[in-house]
Amino acid sequence: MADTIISQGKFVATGDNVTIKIRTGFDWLRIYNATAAFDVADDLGYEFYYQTGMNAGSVISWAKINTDVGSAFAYTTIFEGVDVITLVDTSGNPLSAREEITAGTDNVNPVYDTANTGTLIDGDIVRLSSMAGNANLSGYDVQVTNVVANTSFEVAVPLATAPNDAAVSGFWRKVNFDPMYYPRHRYIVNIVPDGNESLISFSVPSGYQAGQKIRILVPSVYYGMIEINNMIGTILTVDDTIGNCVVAVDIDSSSFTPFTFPTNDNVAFDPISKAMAVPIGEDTARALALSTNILSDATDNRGYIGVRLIAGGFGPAGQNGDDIYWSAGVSTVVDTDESLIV
Amino acid sequence: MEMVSRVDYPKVIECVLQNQESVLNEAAIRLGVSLRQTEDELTRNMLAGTAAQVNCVNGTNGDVPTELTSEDVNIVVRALLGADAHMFLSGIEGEDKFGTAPVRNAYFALGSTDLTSDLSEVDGFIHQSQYPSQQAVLDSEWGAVGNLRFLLSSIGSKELNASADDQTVYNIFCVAKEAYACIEQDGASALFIYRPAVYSGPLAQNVTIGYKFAEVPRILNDAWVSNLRCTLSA
Repeated sequence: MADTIISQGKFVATGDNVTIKIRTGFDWLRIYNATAAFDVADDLGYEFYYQTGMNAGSVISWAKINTDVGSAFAYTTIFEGVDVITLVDTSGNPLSAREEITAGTDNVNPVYDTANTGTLIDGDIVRLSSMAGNANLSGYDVQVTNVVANTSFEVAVPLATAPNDAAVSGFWRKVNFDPMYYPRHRYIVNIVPDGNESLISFSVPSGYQAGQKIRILVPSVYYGMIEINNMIGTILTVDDTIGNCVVAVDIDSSSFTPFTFPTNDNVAFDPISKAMAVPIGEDTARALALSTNILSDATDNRGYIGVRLIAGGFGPAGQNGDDIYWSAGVSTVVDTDESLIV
Repeated sequence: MEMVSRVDYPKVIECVLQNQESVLNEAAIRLGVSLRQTEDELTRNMLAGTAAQVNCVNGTNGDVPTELTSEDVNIVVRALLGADAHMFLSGIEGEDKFGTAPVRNAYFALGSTDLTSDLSEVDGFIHQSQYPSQQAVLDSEWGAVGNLRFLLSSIGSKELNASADDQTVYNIFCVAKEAYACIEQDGASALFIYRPAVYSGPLAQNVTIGYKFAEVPRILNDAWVSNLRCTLSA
């Protein structure tokens, strides 16, 4: 049946971008911001419509002006080229188009200048490439923070040591979603002894849970702590907040060589593999003792089809506290090339 | 006085008579391929996201990882041997035939068909046509380097823009026996479902055929599988 609604729902906006899983895909999507529609103070978008065939990222938006409460619409606009909505299929390519980096700083939290930050916000993941001056970070996915619109962003998780050179050029791409299967391997940027435990920092949030076991791979002397290579540790605590992305494991590394992050020169002239953690299972007894899920290490397909909505006063994901309703459907016939036009 | 006659009648909007058998036969064949490819893709994605990685570092294309070399193959094979991983295939004994060479016992290396040209340039590469015997050649097999026999597919794993120089990285999953498994649940393994036209609607016009399955691939021993990552030669 044409225009059959296959999914609907509501959510309360947090002020952040929102991703909705729509299991069977969709040909059209309607979003209503009930809070915005009855707001008496501000210009706000309150209705959004997308259908197959519209340009990528575009929606038709209805907005009201000030006290024009509950009226039909004050004006309509089509957002194009700003990724108001992004269709997501996590079995596909997670990367956005690349943007240029024009300069960087040489410290453990490098700051990269870019003229276009797009929809980037604190906590997002970007992939760095072709980093002249920071070859050691080329190919890494890193979490970002302190995003200054159309100016710069900062690598959120501190590297063990500074790159030893400032980047002079390079590229970044937004990584829109994780690999499909959980738990994932993660790249290590620092390991610090902490009593008889070790604190392992990753370039992005790990998503690991206490009780899980990981194998630590440190494949080059450029990382310093070569002694920990191939050791297996049980995760005791996890902190995935922005700028931390750290787990504590039950490995005493206090007598090991200090961990270092390879320098630009190390990698530019001598390619190496990345230091990484590989999830391998779970210590059930420890998980029970830590009151965590004893099956959290189970390989889990977390792939989904859905849509990501941008937040804001004129964005379909709204502002903090907004009540938002949505419905999505699949049409029996979709004609985007005018084949049905007589 | 005007008499108005009103009648009502059922409307037949469309009636199509069709022979669906040949279409169904073809669809069933295509669905079979789709089913197995989907299983392969899921396993591929699991390995890409969770297996340990080793970069090729002995090539000369200036990227990280580099293109594939025999030294990189040796590194992975050494790691698998060091973990007591069992090989899949026995060697193929040499014979007195032109252009052939004996083939070592081997682990499997699962990769993309994009690698065919680069593989031919790797030191010690033996194309499967040069095996002394064609009895043991697998359908998807391209050849062997050292103790790896390369099975290539158009849906082999690759990550776009993942290298240091923004190039595509090719994942070559080097696997030993029982490195991973596809776990099915009773009653939820692959099902082909055929519904005759009588179930399609009041006019019984259409038949349907489809498949469904539920399974999860998972690594059984992380030391018995290694993702050897490479780029293409310049």
